[in-house]
Amino acid sequence: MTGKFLSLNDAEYAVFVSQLRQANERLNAFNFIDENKKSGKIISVKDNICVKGMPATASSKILQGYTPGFNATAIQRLEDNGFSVIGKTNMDEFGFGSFGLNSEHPAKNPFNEEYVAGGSSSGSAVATALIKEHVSIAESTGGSISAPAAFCGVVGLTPTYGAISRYGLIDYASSLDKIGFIGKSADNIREVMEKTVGSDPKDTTSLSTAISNKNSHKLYVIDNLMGGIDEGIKDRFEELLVRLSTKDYKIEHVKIDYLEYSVPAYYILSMSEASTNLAKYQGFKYGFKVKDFSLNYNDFFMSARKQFGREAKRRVILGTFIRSKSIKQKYYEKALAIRHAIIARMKNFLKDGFIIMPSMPIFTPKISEVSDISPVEAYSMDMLTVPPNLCGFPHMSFPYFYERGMPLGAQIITDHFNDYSLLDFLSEWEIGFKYKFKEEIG
Amino acid sequence: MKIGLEVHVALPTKTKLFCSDLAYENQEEPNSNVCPVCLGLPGAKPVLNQNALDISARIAKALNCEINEKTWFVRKVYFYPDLPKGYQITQLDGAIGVRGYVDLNGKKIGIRRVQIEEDPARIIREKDYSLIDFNRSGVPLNEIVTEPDITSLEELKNFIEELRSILYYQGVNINQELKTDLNISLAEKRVEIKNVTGVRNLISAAEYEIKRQSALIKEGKEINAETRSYKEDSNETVSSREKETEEEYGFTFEPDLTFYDTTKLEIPKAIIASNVAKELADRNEYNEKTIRELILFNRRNLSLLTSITREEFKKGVSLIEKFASFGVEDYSEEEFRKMLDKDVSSIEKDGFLQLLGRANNAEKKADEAEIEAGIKEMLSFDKTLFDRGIKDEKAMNFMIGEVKEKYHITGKEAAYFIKKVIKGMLNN
Amino acid sequence: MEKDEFERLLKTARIELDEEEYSLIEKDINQILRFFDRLENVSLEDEELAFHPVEIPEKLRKDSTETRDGIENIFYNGENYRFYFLGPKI
Repeated sequence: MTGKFLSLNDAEYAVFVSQLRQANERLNAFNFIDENKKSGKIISVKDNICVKGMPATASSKILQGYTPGFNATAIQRLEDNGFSVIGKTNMDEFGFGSFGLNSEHPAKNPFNEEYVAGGSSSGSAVATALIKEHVSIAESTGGSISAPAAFCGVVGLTPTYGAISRYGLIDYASSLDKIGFIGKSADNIREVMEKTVGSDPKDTTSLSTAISNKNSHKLYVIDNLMGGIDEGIKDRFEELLVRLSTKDYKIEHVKIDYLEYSVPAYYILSMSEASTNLAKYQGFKYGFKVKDFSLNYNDFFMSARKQFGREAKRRVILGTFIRSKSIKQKYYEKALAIRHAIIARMKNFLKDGFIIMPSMPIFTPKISEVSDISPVEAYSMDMLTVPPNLCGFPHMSFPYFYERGMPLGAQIITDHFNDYSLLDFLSEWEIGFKYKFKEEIG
Repeated sequence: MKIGLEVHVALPTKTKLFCSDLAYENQEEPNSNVCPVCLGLPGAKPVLNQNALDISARIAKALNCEINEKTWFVRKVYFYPDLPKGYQITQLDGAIGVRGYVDLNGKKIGIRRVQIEEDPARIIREKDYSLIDFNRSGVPLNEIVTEPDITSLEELKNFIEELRSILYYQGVNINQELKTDLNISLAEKRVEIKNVTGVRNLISAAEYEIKRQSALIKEGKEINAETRSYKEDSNETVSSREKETEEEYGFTFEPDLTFYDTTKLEIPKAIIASNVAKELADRNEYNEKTIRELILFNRRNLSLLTSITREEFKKGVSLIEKFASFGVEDYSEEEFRKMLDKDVSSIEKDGFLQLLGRANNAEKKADEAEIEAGIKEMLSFDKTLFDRGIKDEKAMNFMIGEVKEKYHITGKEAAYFIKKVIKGMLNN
Repeated sequence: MEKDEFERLLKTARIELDEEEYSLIEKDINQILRFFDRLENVSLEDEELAFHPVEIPEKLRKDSTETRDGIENIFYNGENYRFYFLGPKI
């Protein structure tokens, strides 16, 4: 099945870019929009994925001014297949955030600018809502695709860990990072995914395993995960289950042990890895420059690393602590064991059905409602997106309802390497569902 | 006295440990042999060099290590401008080889670990900045960590010689300078001397440190557990600021790589030349020291001496020595065999060469064009040689020496050619 | 976390905080560590450790320059002097 993408001739492109710029002033979807005309099928790319010749900042001041001289493998494969990148999308700095607010100019929700876009792939979700027939190449570590997709009324597909090469992806946490897609049609996402999957000689962790689409009409609901969810969300989700059961889906309620530990386990692993991945930012080879080389190297590095935002600093400090030899067992190794335990238990159900849940435990919050919450409160909002991310299971957030004009998203999860079954599910869902958007350009 | 070492050697691979740039140092300009991986650019990922894994397994086996069935890598985080990613990819618990030893005449010096790791970049200290060349970044190394089993300076020297010989037979270039961290404790407290370059400096540093610690003990003073560095100019060790501790390195699994199965590697039996020397000496009732000298760092000598009979042995040894003293280096095994059947005991150079069949034009003369090209090449490497031309006697003699050796021609001829070539170049 | 431990961490991570950030982040970090301490309730003694979420088979590179991936303009993003990168004083 081939998708339908926006393609523009030169004259149309100029008009399109000026419309996009105008919209971007309100919504902050893009960190960079390319003025050069594009001949291919238009996509956008999250700003932590390298596109040759375009700035790549991961929304961090420490990468300001950096223009990579090479393409990420996923981008190379898309360009080789007739796709063109129009620009780099806004995000939480290095992927650190669930609301898109850890960026100098946070992206706004396209349905209502007082509301968050979700994060960390905030700009990719906004761009997808905004642009006709769009797919944005995004990335998820702990929920960075599902969260913004749910809040912006678009589809977010996070593939199996390793299905898509990470070469050229600016690392957050290497054992968790996954390039994925935000779009608004199953056919479009499928086409982009088919062109990017597969082993890459430049990324050891990219896999050659074939991606399947074993379908099932069994939906598992994890009862012990529903505790912390907003009552209103629960009600809407119950209605969704009723609707699905009329479409021949069989709903089964189950309990999965250790899931309540997935959020702390995820943050322990991701912070440990992030604190090593961010050690490379030192202020002289690329990005932000300290310039005063006569500073002693330690002072020089300290001075450069002031450019990290607050959340990045928090995670680097905590990650450094967790890796210390004397306490590694207490946190880091425990978290690895929990990941192992949860994978086995989720697999038990995923081998013959999907797991389904709301994508986020709350309605889309206003920016003002979440800009001052504590880190632990913010991390807890990832309770539903973290389990599949921690365990590398492919999952997809799709819009299913509009409450007072704002979209709601649900998330379905399948077994490793069965990613295409999610798109089959979506194709079926799209038959009876109409996406709504406030405005679309192109 | 307890001495332990951490010895770093570069592996003889063509390309770097995690990317396809050349691994060996070349004449190219700085930063000409780099890519996103060894520059540590955001988004680049390491992929392990198969050959580096093979060679490391062979080295570990030659050092009598147990080979870990699954080997894996860790990140060691520290900050220095020559370390592009802010962490070094190295090994710890999952090291390729563990619990080995080197046999020094019956005494076993324990090898705690053989680990695979990447070399940092080359850094040049300037007054107000540093200059960094990433050509060396990512060159594959083995770090060989010994137990503190060495108990005298003599033993240290013997160990280093033995280690270098073992490594030579694994293809490691023994002309490269060894980089060593040296732990010495005469009392309880351990003193570490970091980053000693070369064998000579290693011995001098150990010598100095032994004297220093003995003097402190004699005076009844405390020895501090500390990190010191060796100053080559003044031949002493001085206290240096502590680098990161193990607590701070925060070693974690390298998630950009995976586990590597070593059970399917084919590891041939290692040649331990000192053992071979012992066997040859016993079998042929010959002086062991002489044999050691011939074969410790010479693959061909070892192969020739192990391939001849007991009756031929004595003659074989003196024949090898004759070849060497007559300056014939490029002889084949057939030529060796041929000469072995002849009586060369009291023969002079000319007669020897005649027998060998290299008498007339024994030193097969290169033709003029070839010599000319050779001189031009030499001059292009060092432009000052040409500038100084024939006026500078030192430069002239150097060139004559080089040409003589390379093209087997004698004094006057060499001088004649060089002058001719330089004149020709000046005229152009 | 004790104050001197926090100071040591900042040094190890090469992070310098201004006064406002210092008190905020110190407070946050203690709160987050308490959140992590929930794991103390879990006993998974014999559980394997999942370093990756899926099994990653080994991938090795041939010792060859064929796949060499040079980049143009390596100094484009950094300052240089006679083909060397300029770096801080050591």
